Amino acid sequence: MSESGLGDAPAPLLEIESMIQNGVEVFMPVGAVDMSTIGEFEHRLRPACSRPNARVVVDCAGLTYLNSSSLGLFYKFFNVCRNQAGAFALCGVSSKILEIIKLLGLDKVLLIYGTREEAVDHVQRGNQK
Amino acid sequence: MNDKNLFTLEIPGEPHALSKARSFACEVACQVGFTESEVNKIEIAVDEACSNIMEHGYADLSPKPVIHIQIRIEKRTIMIELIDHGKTFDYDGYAAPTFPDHWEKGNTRGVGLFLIRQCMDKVSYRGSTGASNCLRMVKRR
Repeated sequence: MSESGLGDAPAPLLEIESMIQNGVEVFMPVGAVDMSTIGEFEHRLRPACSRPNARVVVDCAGLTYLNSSSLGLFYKFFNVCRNQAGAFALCGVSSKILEIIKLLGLDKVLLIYGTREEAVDHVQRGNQK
Repeated sequence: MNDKNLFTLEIPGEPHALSKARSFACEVACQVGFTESEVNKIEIAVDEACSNIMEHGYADLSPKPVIHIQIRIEKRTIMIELIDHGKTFDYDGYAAPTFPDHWEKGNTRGVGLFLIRQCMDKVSYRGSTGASNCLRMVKRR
């Protein structure tokens, strides 16, 4: 197999929808978060996480890839929310992404729930680790 | 060397090409029987390594040079070489982070090479100022 990637047009890799569920802002990214899309990812999440008492959940079920910088970003947002009496959690994390989270020791730090309902319920009540 | 064991891809040294690099490495790894978990780790290693080249090695270069990806299959082993034409990296001087200290100190980056080493069995680097650099990553089934 021999290929050339030169000259290929960039394809859209990431779409991010959001909704408010029981007072919690839920983000539902679909696609890959890598170096080419992390700027957009941060741009969408930052305002929601920067508000006092922010309640934010990222449903990762639609993510096909997440790089290490994205996970660093999750930790940053987790802290920003916590420091302003808010809460930040993840849900729908695939085994593939959970593996990276564990390799980086973030499973002991971040709030990770199985379903969106669980995450929203806990974040709504301001649960923190 | 039997050419049927050699897979090559050349990508632009820009972030939009990362998905192509990941797909390529995953496709080859799947073909030779790596498990899903192993393929995931190979994908991470290739993405993080290419990202490092683009972000650090090619930071001051315009236009960005290409990155050559060469994958060799030998029995139960996959050997991936990433060849770039950017700034040389101080591979031996890299201090691996410890967790959760790394995060608690406010760092959000700097874990790429750590992840690569965790995901692959053997990693080595040959830097050459003014020529090309080569990161070699090996994984066994």
